[in-house]
Amino acid sequence: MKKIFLLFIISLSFFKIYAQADFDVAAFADTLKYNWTNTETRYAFRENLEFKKSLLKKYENETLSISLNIGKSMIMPGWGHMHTEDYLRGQILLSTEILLAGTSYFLYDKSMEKYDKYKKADQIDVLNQYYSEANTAYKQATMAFSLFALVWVYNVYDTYIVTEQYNDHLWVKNIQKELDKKITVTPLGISVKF
Amino acid sequence: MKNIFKTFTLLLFIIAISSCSLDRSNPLDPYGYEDITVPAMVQGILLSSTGGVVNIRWNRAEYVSKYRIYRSQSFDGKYELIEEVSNPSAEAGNYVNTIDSNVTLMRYYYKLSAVNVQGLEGPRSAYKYILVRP
Repeated sequence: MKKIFLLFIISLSFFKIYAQADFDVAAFADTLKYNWTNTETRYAFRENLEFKKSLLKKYENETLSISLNIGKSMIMPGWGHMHTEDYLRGQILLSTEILLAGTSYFLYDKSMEKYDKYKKADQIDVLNQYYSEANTAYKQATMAFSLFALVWVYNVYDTYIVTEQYNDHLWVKNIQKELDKKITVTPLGISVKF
Repeated sequence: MKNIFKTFTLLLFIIAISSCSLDRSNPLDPYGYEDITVPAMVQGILLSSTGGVVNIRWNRAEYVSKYRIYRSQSFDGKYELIEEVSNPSAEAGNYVNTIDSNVTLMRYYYKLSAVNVQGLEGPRSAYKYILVRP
């Protein structure tokens, strides 16, 4: 049993040596394959790489989490939109929700006030009048609340779309911002644009 | 995704609008309780005045426990309850009478209604008016 095991180990080590023998060090060390013909091109390549790395880091830092943004919009409608810098839509959604919630509460309160009077009424005309008024206000309150719920659902759905769009545009926006910078510090020196 | 959203929206609206209605929980409401009968409007109201009082007479009705008499000084003014008259037995006749003596020499408007045994008051009659004479 031991012999078989030893033979197995030895045969494995042979495979390893054989595999390493194929590695082409010369090709790996050849700088020309990266188009580095001189020091300047190598510096330019490094500058470009550093630039992309910094952009990537910035992108990762500034990318918005879709689930977190949706969560914020669930708590306060429009909050997620404001994070994506879509302030107008965020404000419209927030004010619409406040207005609908307020209307719904006001109508429900009015409905309950009339309903209490209906419950105490003992004259047929008064009884019918209060019931009709209470029921109308109750239906209006339900409609206002349904609209509130609809806008809330739309707000959550739209937050998902808007956050995705924001993340998509963020990369291009950051590149543009970097290119628009007047002063840049590079390994080759400081460059100033006029 | 858009179709799901639209369907959900439509469903929510239909459910919300169709399901919302308050219960007719008043025990006197004939729409909520089948054993409640609305008393009919008081018929045959007749007003007359002699000696500074108003005589009121109307037709007696069945399944009524009492009548309510309302009075106002203008036809579209506030009618105040001035008296409740118990429904007399059938042997007492087909008419019910009462006298309003708390009046001065001017014109008064009256409305009457009937109340059933459960306590539900029926519709008030159209107004009738009388000029009180000395």
